[in-house]
Amino acid sequence: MKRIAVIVRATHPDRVSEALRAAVGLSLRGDRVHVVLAAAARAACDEEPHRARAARALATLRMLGHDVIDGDSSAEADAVRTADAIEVWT
Amino acid sequence: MSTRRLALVVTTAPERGDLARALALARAARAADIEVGMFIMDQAVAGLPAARAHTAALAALDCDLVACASSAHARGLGEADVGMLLGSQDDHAALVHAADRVVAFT
Repeated sequence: MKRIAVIVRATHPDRVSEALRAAVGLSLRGDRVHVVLAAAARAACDEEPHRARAARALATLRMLGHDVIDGDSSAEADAVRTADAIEVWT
Repeated sequence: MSTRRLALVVTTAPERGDLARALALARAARAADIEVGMFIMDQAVAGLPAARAHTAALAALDCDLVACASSAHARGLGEADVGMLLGSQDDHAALVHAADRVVAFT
């Protein structure tokens, strides 16, 4: 089982939505996904009409037991340090 | 020696130039006898029609190339347009899961 870090630094809601869709997708083969949302990405999640879709992706990840946190560069560094694979979405 | 496998993920808009970088990296990896798989999604799929000659060359070198069907269809692109198999996030997951190294242009 791999540990995959998905760092979401994107600010455009469409990009954030795609990053979260990718994060959900990355969980499909049994790997552990750790999502870190930068402040701007979190704000983008709350923008309409993206709010429901983002909320669903975040809820799915949590329901499946994956970590989703709102984090700063320190949280990003922690996620990266323990990851086998990393995707940084900008 | 066991075969090494490189996964390349590209999601950025064509004007970023990341697709070209990933394709070049794929060619270099194949020259070093490293197996290569690529998954292209989101804004990056828009660059695939113009890159068909390059992706066809990589396919001829046994690279596994998959574009996200959702991303392609959202941009009015079909398999013939992108020049590779249209797949899903499961392909993304499988590629990353199986790889020894992942380089993500995201």
